[in-house]
Amino acid sequence: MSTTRGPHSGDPVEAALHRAAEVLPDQGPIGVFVHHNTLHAFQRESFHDGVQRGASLLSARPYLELDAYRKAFASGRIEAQDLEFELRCELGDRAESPVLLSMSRLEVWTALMLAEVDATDAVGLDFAIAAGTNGPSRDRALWNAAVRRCERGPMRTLPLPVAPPRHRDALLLLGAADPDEVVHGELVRLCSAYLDQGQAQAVLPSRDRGFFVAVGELHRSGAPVAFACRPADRDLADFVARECSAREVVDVCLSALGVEASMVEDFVVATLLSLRGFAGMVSRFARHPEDDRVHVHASLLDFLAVRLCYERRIVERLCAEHGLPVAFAALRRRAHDHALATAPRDARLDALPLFAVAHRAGVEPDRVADLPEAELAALWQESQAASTVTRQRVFHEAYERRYRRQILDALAQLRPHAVRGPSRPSAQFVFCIDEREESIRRALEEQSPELETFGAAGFFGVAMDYQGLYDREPAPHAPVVVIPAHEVHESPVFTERDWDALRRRMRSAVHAVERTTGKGSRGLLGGAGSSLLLGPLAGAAAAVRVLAPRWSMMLRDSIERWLAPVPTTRLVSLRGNAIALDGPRQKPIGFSLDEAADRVANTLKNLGLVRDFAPVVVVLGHGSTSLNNPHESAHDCGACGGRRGGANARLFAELANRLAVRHAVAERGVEIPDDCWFVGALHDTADDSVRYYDLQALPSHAAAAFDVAAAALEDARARSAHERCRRFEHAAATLTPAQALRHVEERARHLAQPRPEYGHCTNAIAVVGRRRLTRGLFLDRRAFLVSYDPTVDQDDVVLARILAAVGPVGAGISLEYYFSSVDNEVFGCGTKLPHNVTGLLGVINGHQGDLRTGLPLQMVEIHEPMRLLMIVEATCDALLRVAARNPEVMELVGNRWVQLVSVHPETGAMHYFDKATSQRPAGFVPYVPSDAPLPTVQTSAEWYEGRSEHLAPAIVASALRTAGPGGVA
Amino acid sequence: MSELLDLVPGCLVATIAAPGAAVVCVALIALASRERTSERVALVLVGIALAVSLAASAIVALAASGLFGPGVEGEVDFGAWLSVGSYEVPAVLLVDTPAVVFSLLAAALTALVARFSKTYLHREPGFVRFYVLLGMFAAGTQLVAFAGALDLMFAGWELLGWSSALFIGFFHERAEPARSSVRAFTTYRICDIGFLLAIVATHELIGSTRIAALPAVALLPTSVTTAIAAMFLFSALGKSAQLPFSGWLPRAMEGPTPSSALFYGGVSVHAGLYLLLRVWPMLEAAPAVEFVGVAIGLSTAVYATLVARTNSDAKGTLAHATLAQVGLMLAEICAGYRELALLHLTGHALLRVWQYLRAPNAIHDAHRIGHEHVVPSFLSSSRPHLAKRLYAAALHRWRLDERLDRAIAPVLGLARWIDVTERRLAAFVRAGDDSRTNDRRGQDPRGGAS
Repeated sequence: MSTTRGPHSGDPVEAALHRAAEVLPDQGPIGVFVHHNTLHAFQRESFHDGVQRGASLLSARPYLELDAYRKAFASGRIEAQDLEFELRCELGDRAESPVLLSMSRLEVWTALMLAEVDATDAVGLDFAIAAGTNGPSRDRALWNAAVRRCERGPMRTLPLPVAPPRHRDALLLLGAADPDEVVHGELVRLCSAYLDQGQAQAVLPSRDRGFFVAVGELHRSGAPVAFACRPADRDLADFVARECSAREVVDVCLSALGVEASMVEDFVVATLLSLRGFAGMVSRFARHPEDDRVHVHASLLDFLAVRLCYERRIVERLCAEHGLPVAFAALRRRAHDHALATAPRDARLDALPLFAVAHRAGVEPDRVADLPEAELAALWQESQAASTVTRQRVFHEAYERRYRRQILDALAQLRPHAVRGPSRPSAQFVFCIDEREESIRRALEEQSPELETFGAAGFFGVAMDYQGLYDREPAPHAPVVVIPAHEVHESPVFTERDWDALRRRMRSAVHAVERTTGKGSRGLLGGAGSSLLLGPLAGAAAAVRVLAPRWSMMLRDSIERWLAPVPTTRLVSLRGNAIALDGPRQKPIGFSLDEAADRVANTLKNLGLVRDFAPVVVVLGHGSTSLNNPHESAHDCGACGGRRGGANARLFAELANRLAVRHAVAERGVEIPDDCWFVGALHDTADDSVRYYDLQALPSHAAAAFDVAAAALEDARARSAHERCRRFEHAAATLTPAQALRHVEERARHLAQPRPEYGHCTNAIAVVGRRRLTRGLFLDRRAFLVSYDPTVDQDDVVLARILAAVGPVGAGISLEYYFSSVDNEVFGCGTKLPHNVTGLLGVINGHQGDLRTGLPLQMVEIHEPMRLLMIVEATCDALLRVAARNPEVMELVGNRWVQLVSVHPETGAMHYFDKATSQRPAGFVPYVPSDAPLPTVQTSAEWYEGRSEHLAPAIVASALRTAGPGGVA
Repeated sequence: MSELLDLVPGCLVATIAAPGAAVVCVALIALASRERTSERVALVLVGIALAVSLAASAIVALAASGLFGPGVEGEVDFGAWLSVGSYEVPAVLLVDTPAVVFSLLAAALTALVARFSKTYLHREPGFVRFYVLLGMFAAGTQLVAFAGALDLMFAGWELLGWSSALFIGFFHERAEPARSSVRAFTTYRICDIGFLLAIVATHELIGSTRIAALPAVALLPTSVTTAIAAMFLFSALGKSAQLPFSGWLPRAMEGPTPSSALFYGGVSVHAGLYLLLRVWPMLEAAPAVEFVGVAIGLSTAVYATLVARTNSDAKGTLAHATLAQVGLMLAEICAGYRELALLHLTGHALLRVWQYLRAPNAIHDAHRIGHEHVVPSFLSSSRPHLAKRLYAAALHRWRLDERLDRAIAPVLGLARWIDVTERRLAAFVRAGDDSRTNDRRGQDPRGGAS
């Protein structure tokens, strides 16, 4: 195994810790969920090498299962031409040479790709044949002939079993009990107590002294360890009493376990990966202490030391019980020999590839039974080359290629229909680039040619640490790669300060009561008291909340609004140029005039919104509200670091409305007309509600225009909800948009709803360019839409800025979804139903298990795992220049973790950044779109109504009307 | 209001039979069709049955409340369920306050959880199985609630146990739920021995297993009633996860959240207490058992409270908090405060079901209402060593499971020895058989030819 050495290359343990920290899950406490590439450590390698190596390290699947791809082929999701194209790429000029049964290599591989040839046990195979569910059961004669032929040999060479990476795997192979069962039982309880962010009522004693010392101290006080791990408790107590460092303990344990120096690194990495959820959280806290609310000073070395102390003793015990050597090399050899000796050899398993090829060739059983030895050997050679993972890789490329063709063809088809925007639109809407906003943007544009929409990364260029009215501390609202330099606070307006103070007191009193009853009801006497007093209330609450989720919640909200309305607030957004008011975190509160103007001007330039301003520009951040959903934050805005973008939208609008800022912006080359007004808003993607900010400041000249915009948005959100409902099985197909809105409102407020929304599920494309490239195209909520106008961009400055933000954020989301859907059990966190919130860190399964990272099954179940297809309206040269300047973008594009397509701003010619082949290095190759016409519909609803599957692009004519001279209301 | 009274026997049967019939229907449909049964089928059939069961239970409750004419109370006889010689299991249902309360509570909570799960379990491959188990559970609890004879109650008791164990193992593709399910099931079976023996003994001694006939035990010698009451207590301890059988309850959190709510917050965990309420005359005649019950109940309460304090997972904390209250209720019952216990039980079930259903909201709530500042306890400042030891013991739940395992290890060893010996014997016999067969084959002319 090749290694990426850290700065500690001399010391194998340090090197292992460094490497493990890269591979372990990098997810912080789940309250703030930031999408990232699950295998970020492998991004330095090409996509296929990276996923394969990463997956094999974690015993995961790198791609979908072959069966899923075959089903996709059968259903037409992958077309024959895509498969053939990718196979030809794979085989190069050897594709046409004959192999056996007068079939070319291409045909042999096609047969191997499309047939079930992966059975690993003969019993299962027999069952499948008997049940009549596979090929051999339909052509018994040919199957029997193939089996007879294979019985005569030569046998197929099977890949060697992998040497067990740890004692545990060797012991399991040799029939011993699983030591991890006991060790993990101990560690899970200790780790969740140690890392707990405030869920338990009692705190692990000596927690501030580190994990190793805290556990040692527990044992010193006489607490025993599980029987099977004894005397690890005495070891640990002794180590801590002698003040040994964790590092010394690791060395002692490694030598007791007989791990030789050359094996230490891989052994330690494998050991740390075996309880990777908790180990990952320890490592995360060690690298990002700011994530750790209770400051435990976590260290991966401490964790390793405790783990090895327990592991050592139980391994010694099990080895003694079974008469096995403890020394790792010797034990591993025993297990390996055992695995070789017991490897299943069965002619029926060999016969599968032969059957597949013969069946496709359509030859007689006799010819198969008499197949010459050389031809059989040739087949074995091919089937060895076409290993499972190779076939998956080829299938995956074909799977992506088909979708890519579909999208690029659609873009080419749309181009002649593209419309010029009106000279003065009646309203403009700036959304986040998020693909979930695609439908609502389309719904706006379908209403009138006078409505324009834009997409910008949802922090709208104003990175800040934001503290809302009732937040306890400021939190970063910016993409994770950006560290905000400013703080912005929300505070009540002057006239409502008294009410705010009173409301705050009431609020904290109510919360204190809630906390006390919550804690008390879990205690002994408090539990008895609250059973008698609160039991009936709880019963009534449960009944109402379960039977009428939407109604009960709305009633509650309106009572609260009536009794204790939230005071009117404003943002502390600007500060004097000279005065730097430092907050407790040493950051200035508010922006200086220049800083504000820079941000506003840059964002407008990014958008390409530098002329033709509408009277009202609505800027919408987004967030998501749902209940009983530990993964709620994963539905929030990725560009705001897993938080809600409403504050950013509000701040941007507030700054852009200030006269002083406008003057400074004009100096930077963007003239905002006096009769243009920006309105900030928050779009809730779960219940499709829209909440506007600071409407009290709306000037009277903008009121009429705002009414138009708000009415359009009101209609669009219902249509968007309607389109979303097509994916929900519990939403009737006959819903009207108004009913659909009620349906999504109920979903977001339902305690039992594991799918309040589908989040980023189905994301696939990112289009960076003018909206005319995509306006009027039904993209099925699968496209990140980033506004970028190459005609106003000088020296690719804007392009560089956009790609630096969109590349990593988009790729992070797309790859997180990719991995969580190809292997939901390893990369994702499995089904939500048995999830149990632990330590405010994340979820475990059931009563005791590892922390589960990644996305739950319910969030990815309809996802098509593909790399993000990034389509940029810029020349190939511009793209290469920008990528060369930004290493992160270069890595994503060059190693093909995203698929990049350039669309020429003037000609519309498309180039795809293709993989290297035997003929040429990786680089842009022209894409020639097909001219099959695209279906055209009047409205989106016409295209999607009654269909719940993924939909191909279509032209939506109503969004392509040109503005009449009088404008449209 | 004699119409209401006339309805009572029918309603009593309906509470039990409706869910039972729905289970049978869904099972038959699932068996008959080759395709997977749709969510809708299970939902509609079980849903209607639970609604009928709830309505019937409510009618019985109304009739028993005495608000409409004289309150209904006493036995309703349906003849014999089965009879073997002189022994017969009477099909008799008994209406009294505990029965009505328990039945109504169980029916309402089951219906609520069924509605919750319609959304929660949507698209889950085990959806139909979930509803079948829910129906089975409903039939079981209603039978337990209204059974007028101990043997009839035992039938319901078993349905309850089976559905509980199967719910714990609901996600059987993973190892941990399967292990936990087996542990709960084993605990139930071992403790059921107590119930069975007690039924037989009761029948032998007073000639009937009717609950209404139980007061007759007051005439028996104290030593006899003590032995029988101890057996009932033993069986209640397992079902209600009292010490030393508390280990299975946290493990039961492996099931989907709504089933955890219904079983281990709401109904099933209280079934042991209900049994003791039913056989109260027996307990009353055995003061020693009452004393032991109070002691076990209080120690469980203390144990579970301490464990709950160290638990950092939402469902585990709730499981132990529930256990503590069940311990208290056991003490209440054994101390003779039966009405208080019934009130406590009802309020507690409602509270816990709500808390379980909201358990996944823990992070949301913590963000909203903020964190409690943990203050060091008195013990940790005055006796830090003891505090650490106590903490570790609570964190590892006094290693109850491990201790139980080691306690029964000799029994298992014996069983394994018997198994190995039997196999060897069988192999020995077969070897003899084989050699004889081979001899015969040797004489076969065709064998010689090949």
